[in-house]
Amino acid sequence: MTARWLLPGGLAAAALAAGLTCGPGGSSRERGPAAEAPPRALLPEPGPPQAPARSVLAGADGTTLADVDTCGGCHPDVYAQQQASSHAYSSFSNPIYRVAVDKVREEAGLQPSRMCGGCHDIALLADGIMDAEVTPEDLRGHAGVTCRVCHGIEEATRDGNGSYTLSRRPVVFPRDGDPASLEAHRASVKPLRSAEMCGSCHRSFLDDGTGNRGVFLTGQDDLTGWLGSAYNHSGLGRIDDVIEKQDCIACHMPREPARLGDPAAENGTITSHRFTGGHTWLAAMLGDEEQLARQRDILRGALSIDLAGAQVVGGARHLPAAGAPVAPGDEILLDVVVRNQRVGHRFPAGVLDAQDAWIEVDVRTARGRRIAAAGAAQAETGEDRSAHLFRSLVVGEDGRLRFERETHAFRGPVFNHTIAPRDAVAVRYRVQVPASLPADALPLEVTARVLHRSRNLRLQRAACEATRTERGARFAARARELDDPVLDACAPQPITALAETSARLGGDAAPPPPDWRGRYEHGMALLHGLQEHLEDARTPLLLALEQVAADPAAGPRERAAVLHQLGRLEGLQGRTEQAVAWLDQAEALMPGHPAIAYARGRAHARVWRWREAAAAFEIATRKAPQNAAGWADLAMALGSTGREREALAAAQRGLELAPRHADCLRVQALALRALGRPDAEVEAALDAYEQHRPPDRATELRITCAAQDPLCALEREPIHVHAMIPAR
Amino acid sequence: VTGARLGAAALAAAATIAAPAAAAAFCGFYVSGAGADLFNNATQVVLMRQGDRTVLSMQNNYQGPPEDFAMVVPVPVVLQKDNVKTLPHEIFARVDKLSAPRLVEYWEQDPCTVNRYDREEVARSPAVGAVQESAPGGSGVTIEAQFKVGEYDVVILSARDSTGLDRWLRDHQYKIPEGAEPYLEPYVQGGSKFFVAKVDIEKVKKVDGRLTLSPIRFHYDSKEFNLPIRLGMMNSAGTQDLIVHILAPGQRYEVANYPSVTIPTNLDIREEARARFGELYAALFDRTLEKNPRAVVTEYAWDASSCDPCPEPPLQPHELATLGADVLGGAGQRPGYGPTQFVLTRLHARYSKDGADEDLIFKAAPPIAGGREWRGPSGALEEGASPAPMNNFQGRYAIRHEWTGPIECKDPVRGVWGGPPAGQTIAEGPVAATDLAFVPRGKIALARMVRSNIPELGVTAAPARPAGQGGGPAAPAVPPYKPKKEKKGCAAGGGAGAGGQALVALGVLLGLGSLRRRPRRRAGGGAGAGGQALVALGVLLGLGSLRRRPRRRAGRR
Repeated sequence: MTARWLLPGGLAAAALAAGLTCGPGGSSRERGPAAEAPPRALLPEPGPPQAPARSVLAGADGTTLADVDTCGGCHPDVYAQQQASSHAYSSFSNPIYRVAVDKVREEAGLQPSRMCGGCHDIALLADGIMDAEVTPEDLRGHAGVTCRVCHGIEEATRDGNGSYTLSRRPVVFPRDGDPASLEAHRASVKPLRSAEMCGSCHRSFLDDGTGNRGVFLTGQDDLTGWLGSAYNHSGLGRIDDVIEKQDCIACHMPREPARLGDPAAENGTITSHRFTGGHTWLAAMLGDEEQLARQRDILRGALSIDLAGAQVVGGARHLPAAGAPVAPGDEILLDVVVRNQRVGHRFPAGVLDAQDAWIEVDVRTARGRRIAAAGAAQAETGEDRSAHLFRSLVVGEDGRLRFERETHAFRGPVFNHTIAPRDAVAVRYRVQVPASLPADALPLEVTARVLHRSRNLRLQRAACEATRTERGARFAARARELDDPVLDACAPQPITALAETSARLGGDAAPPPPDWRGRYEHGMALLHGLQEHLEDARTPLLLALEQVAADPAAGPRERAAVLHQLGRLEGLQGRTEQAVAWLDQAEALMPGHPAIAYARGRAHARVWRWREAAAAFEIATRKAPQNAAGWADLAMALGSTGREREALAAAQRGLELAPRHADCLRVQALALRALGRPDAEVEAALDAYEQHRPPDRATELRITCAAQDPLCALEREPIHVHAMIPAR
Repeated sequence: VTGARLGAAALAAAATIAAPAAAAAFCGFYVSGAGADLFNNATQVVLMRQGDRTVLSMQNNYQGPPEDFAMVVPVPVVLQKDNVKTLPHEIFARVDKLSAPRLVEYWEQDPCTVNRYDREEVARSPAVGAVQESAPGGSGVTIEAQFKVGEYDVVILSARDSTGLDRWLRDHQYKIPEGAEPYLEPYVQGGSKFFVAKVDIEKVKKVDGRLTLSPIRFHYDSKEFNLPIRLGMMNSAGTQDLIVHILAPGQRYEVANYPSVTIPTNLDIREEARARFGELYAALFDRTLEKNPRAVVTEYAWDASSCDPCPEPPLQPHELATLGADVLGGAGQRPGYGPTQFVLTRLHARYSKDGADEDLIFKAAPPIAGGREWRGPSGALEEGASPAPMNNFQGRYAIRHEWTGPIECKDPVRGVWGGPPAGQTIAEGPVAATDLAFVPRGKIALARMVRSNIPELGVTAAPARPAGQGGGPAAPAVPPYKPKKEKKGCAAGGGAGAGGQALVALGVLLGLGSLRRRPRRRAGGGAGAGGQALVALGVLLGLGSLRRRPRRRAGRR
């Protein structure tokens, strides 16, 4: 059984539409049973037989699922591509995975590891072997995600943790000269091709079932980021450039030439089964230069980096950094802004706690002598505390950071410094210009770049160790027997430069020409700061406004984008009238844009003008219907005005997109109670909320971590300052 | 010399040459914390902020029927048991006095015993030299982690109970006042959690004759830095008065969503204002709000480890720990922050029930200076607030006694100010204004009480009146200054409390049944006269229906 709902979402949607158009619109609270019974609770069902994996395997046979050779016999291109992909090496045979799953099994028990099996080891899970010893000799532990898995999924939900259902239908094999059998074959292996199918495994969570006692934690979640993004035409955070709608297939399965004569080719191309992404390490381990090149191609340019500002401590900010007046003896704060330009989910993706993408900043004199750096040692050591890393980190019961995928030990998040689609983040660096620097050492040359390595070195070391054990050796031996590649986790990981920029400061360095986008992105990034520092965003945004007006290449959309961020700034500061004024200007340029309505709603909600907020959120969600955060905001606004029925409907729309969204679950429960639903149903809804809300102890764990680890202390602040290390 | 009198320190170097006796005595003439006395019955909030962590401490007074009640406080997360603590009253008094607008007195030094060098030195000396005080004798500031301590019995509601706050309160015999739902519902919808501090009224201490609840402290992590004041509107009967102190490493704060102004400072006032300093300051404050409607007024922004002048010794590390430094954890991007780097900001808001419908949303603000005995090259005292490298701003008001003795030297130096003449070491109390929130308002003519013009408020100082005619229509006779010989040290004004008492709470008082049906007792806390302050962050709940709950102390009352 997958996570299912007691009522189809469509009905909830209809109820919302009716409520919004026909509802009372007033503030009188709806109480008691209404003439028309409200929709019932949408609740994740209790775990299916394979829980904590959400997979419904319908009696599938593991050995059959593990068979890829049969598919490959007819589909050489697809087979070759799949064998180059991460999907083919998701099983125990992969030491990166094995080191993590073995630890879960050893420390938390076998049953929690089913969750891993639902997406990594479907063949083992299907045969119940995740509940038993997995030997290196077992073929099923070398299978990975096979053709029969993806092409056998008949249903997938957005719940995650492998929330798909395998079809009971047998694969029909075509017979030569029998078009009907070919059609039957196609029908029997037709994939869902939906984002939900990808999301069923690229969205995950941890809870009691996975050994995470008493907490609910979101794990990797590429689906949420994409659903509410401009790539799904449901972004609410900004007025973006015109972006073509793209899903996981468009980016990760583009068509490519069928070089080996695959019969599935159309016009000489097939849908790529390389699933190209960021796993350069695996490509390197496989020795697959082509796959590695493709991975690097997709990574390069995915982000942009900008030296957006420089400020001599105690002095004025210079925007951008280039051309800033700097003198020997100055202490400088540098703002580095990184924007996710073309990743349709958060960057980096996947298991965020194991990622290793970082910023390297280098400051040199005019003669090229380094005076300070940050992140320079990360490539070699993986432990450079001056490096800013794009990742999330979690702590265990003791408040210690966990770097090695000990998922069962996770108890609370400390920070998440990954970047949402099309969003920007700011990172600050402090650098001391030596007072002894001669005048001709200026201008200073500052270089900043984003570097990417698939996994952190702690995890790599652990994986490497795992290959050197007796068990590791047996897995390697069995791989050789199977003529599979032996993955060497000890080999160095490739490092890829994703983006780079430089600027000259001091001396005769001239400021660059106006670039409204740089200022706009800087302002947008600073809006992620702490409440009290949001004002920092005003200057770059006002500068962007000035420059965009003077840019002949910029049109109404671009001007509206800047105005919109100014409106957001005011709204976040509780300056509602000013927010509305900016947003009205944006609206005049880009009428009806959902991001404007959403910002309007947030501005009103900030000061508890719930009726106005609800009206604005209603517009936003109508135009960006796949953004769960929008529905949650609408639900809370409606609930705050006593429009329970509509609040319920909005919450349930959010739950369709994110079935375990704590805010939506809470508003649903409150609305059900207010609407007089039976106690048992209300209690069940409250149970669901309680199970999925943020852990109570997270605050204390963060502070425990901060007290014992400077990394925690530093990075729990959204925009923090990295001290650059002076060159010796 | 106590550090509290460090204003004297700047002067002392000069004064020791010419008038050593006076220098030693000068400190005694600070009027200790006008605000402390003005508002010691008003709501006090101390926020400590670092990174995304907020530690919120609050002290409420209670005015109402002499029955048990409870205070309900919304918080972003379900607090752990040891996240809620009670603090001693003294810590709030310390913070309040340290930051309160202050009245100082200066005597012009004998023009024939100071030299020009002294004067120039004084003029150049910014009063920024922090004097680090030693801890005030182990004042026993401790934190109680018990949940049943003093008058409180603290109950932390679970997330589930928080979703049904109204039901929980009803189940526990509390009655929610009519019309409260619109205030509470958004908190519930938004996922706020609650803790309830049940108050045993018989255990509530009287401070200066008023029922004052023990300060209570809790902390949480959030990117947002707000002070929720809307719940306080639930029981607001009139004007509300709120003082917020914020302690943060190296950072001053203002409010982002209300106009921000600094209180006019460095004003010379007439001697007759000494006995009515509270009224005078209230008039100044009210005039400031009149000119700047809805404004939140900055009254103080200074390094918490120093002051100048000091009505109180600066805050000590153990006191900062009491106020939350013990739970700040790592020091963010600025590890190694010591207590000396906390900046104490004091913000003062006063508003009608309809005048503040939004929570206070804070923003970081650049350092400012003002209100110091700092004269420029021309000899003019610095005016107002101005940008500065570090925070040195305070509300400071001075009574100056010009030299009235003989001037028999050839080249007298005027305008050097210090302590009283030898033999008149300390005044017997300039009487500190107390209960400023409740002093009679509108009965003092500001222009007649100040000697300095206040152009930003459109106030022009009136010519001096003959002694005894007072500063306003209802002014009492000004008590003559009575020099008291041979007494050294600081004179703390013992304030006479104004009668009208406020309902000042960081909670909302929810009546036991109908409060109107019960006689109001005014013993101790006393029912407030006039529109008084209810500043609420939480909900003070009266016990539920008396009919359903035995009146435990009925026989004793």
